[in-house]
Amino acid sequence: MTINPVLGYDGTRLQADLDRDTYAFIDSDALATGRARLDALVIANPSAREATSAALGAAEMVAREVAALAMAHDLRIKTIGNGIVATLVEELVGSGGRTEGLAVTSSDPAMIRQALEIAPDLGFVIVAASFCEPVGLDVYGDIHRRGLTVRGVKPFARREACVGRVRPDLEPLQVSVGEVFNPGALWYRLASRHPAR
Amino acid sequence: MSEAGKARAKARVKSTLSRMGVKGDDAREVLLWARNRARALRDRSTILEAEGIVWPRAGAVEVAPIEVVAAGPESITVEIETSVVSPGTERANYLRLPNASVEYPFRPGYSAAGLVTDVGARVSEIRKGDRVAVVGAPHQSLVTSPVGSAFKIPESVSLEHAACIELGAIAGQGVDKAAIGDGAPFAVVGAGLIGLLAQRIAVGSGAGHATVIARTSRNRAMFTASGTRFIAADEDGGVPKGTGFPVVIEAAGTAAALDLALRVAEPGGRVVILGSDRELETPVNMERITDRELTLVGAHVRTVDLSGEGRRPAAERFLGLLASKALTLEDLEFEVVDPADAGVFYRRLAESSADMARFDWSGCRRTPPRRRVMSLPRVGRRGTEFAEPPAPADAPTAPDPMSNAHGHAGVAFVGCGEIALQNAEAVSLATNAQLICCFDTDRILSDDLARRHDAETAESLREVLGRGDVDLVVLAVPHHLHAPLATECLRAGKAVVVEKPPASDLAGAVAMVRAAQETGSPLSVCFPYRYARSALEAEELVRRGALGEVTGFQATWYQDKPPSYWLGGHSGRSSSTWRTSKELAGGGTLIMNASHYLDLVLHLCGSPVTSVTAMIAKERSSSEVEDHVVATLQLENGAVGSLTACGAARGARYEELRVWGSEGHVELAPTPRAYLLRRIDHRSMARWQALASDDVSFRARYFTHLVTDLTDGKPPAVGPEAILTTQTVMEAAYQSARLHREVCPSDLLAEWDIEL
Repeated sequence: MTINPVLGYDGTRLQADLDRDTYAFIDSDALATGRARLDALVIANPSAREATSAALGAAEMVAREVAALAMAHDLRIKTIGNGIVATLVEELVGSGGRTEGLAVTSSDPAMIRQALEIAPDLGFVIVAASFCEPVGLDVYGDIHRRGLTVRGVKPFARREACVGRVRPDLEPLQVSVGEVFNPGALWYRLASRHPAR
Repeated sequence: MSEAGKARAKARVKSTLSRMGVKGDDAREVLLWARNRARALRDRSTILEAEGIVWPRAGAVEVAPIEVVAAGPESITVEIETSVVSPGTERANYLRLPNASVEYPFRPGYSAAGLVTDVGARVSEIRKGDRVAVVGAPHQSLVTSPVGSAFKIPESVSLEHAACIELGAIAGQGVDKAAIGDGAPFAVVGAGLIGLLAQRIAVGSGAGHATVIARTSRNRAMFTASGTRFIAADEDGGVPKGTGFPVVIEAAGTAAALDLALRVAEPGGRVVILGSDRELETPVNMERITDRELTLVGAHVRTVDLSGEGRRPAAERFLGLLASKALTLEDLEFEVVDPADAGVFYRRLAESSADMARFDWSGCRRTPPRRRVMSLPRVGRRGTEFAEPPAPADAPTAPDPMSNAHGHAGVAFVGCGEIALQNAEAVSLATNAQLICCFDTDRILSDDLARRHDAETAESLREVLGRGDVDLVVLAVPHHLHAPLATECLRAGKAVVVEKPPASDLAGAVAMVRAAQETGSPLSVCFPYRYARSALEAEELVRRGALGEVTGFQATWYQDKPPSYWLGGHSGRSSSTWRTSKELAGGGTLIMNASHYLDLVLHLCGSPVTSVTAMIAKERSSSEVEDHVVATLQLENGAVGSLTACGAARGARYEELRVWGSEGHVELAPTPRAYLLRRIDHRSMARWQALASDDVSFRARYFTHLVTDLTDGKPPAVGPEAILTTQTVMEAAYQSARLHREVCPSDLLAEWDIEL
């Protein structure tokens, strides 16, 4: 589902066409881009708790795939991002690994450009963020000439809901459609103005 | 010495040279000279002469004499037979694309093959006379290379194919990074040389079925002949639905090709970037990469150096595949480029109209002379961009009419005023013409001219025309008299030269041409500028295609005519006000002065004028004719040009005349010189060089050539066609100025129903 963040004088609002029994989960890394639209993981479940658990399960899947890639390529991962997926990745990957790798969870094009710039020659960059538009990259200078490998991982917002855990320490900030909120959370649970319960 | 130290030392030497007045190209020559000698001394070697392609500055290409330090202890010297062009890299460098930094002078080239002429003391694996392929060899006739960059060519492999070694290594390491499983299918996006090599190396190394996807079908046959599937992507890069591959090699080097590669990769697939555009920001569809969990791998050949693996394994495998016939290149259609045409070739490469190409160095001298290490640098030898250009020592010379002069003509002058003095002098210098008699209504003038040239004075035109020893009559009379007098002379069976312009109007020009056609008597107009040595040489260069397609010209003439000019010309020899009369003169600056230049540029351009737009202005109320004309002309071949002339530009005495084309440029004034992209004979490329200067009067050359033609029964070279062309264009210019609209000269001529 596409969410439209609207920046007003009093703060940010999220606009979306959400049903009563549906929640949209948004990684804060997707919000940081200043884009007019962003992707969200939509889960139809009247229970906010169950929906959150399923969304967390999807985020954990992303993190696990990133960690598996890190292990397979013997990477010491540095994460570029601050959201829920980035947090879970950092929980999973250790400080081991022989070569430095980067995991980009931020949807900000500047962040991926920066990741490619700071990656070592012949380095490995995992991208697990959602992008709604093409991103301008120095393909020749960064990827081609320096022999980088860029591996895409399906982002959180494009996942299916899956069985997850309940993590009180990782509760999303609940926000209603059109309601002003202050960014700063790891992730957000967007509900219609009149949620089911 | 550190890099910074070297840079400081170089800057110091440059500064010192600059103080000594040695700058630009010359300073670079001195620095190269010093560097080569330092290397030669270090290696206890010597210096050899060779030829190489050099880019002295952006867009300029020349084949220049270069020095090559002969083999040191661990290197070999190779006489290059052929060097292969790396189209993507060389195009990017030539165009100075954002990610391709080039420092001038630059020597392009990466991949070559030839015969070893010298080996270092510590080299054991390669011997003199061996055939070798050289990685990293620039485009030049002789290369000294570290032995590690040279590869012995297996007997069954041709030099031409082995010369692709660097490109083979580039493609090969890309194939390695693609990690295509044995028998696994894969796709290549891009059907250029790198794409083709990647596809064939992959198949030769055990990969499965290949599919090539390209926007152009240019090399389609080369792929399909070997059973490769070829998909022509449509304009939007679209491919048939369901097209998907586990491995895709992007070898086209464009943003669109990368997008296409990402589109046809299967989920979880691998996209190897073997080609790449050089933009600083290429739009990449990251959504496709993340959603389909693709792996994007950068595969620049430099990465094998970064990994410590080096290019040697990929290069050796390339030669091995060629030797085993697992890789065949026999069907590749390489364009073989003469290094002398390098300037034109790189222009085509820049427009993507050249692809697989190699330079053939076999025409360069086979045994390079050894040079003494202490010989002096070549300062000022090749000419520079802005300095006074030296003429090449053995520049091609256009045929000189003076050297082939034969026959004899008795000449009479009718009209003995100002211009007659110059023309009579020219006749006296012509080796096959003799001034017999002179006639003018002003007896003083005819007597004077006759006395100067030991000729007789005639009492009348009838007397002139009645003389059997007069073959040619030169009419140097006011413009309105050209047509009637020429007609009379032609009808009397005499050959006629009219001083320019042909006539005062198109009707007069048509009348005299008709008279020539009816009587069969030769008719010429005195446009002698065509016979300046520089013009003859320019004509020869145009004839030989040195300018390519002529695309433009400029003719400018500025003078500050004194008021006395209108009463008696520049010399005051004959007092008359006919020059101020539109009816008698036909016009002012255009017809009186600029007609010379108009004839010359049209003659050099060799294409009819299809459109004329002009404006004229006069500054004196006492005159009916223009002082200032500005005209733009379009030619049938698409070329456009301008003609600007002013006789009232205060203090001025300036001429500019130039014709240019897709491959060269000749300037006849103010400095006769040429700039060519091709090397014609020994004329340098990409540098201004002088055209030949005159040793005798060009008017004398005009008369000599005319008499030779008449003797041989040929029509005059500057005959009725030149008369009608010039007069019609001038008439069109006057009409355009009057009507304030574009005028087509052929429409004017059509009214006269005359054919040449």
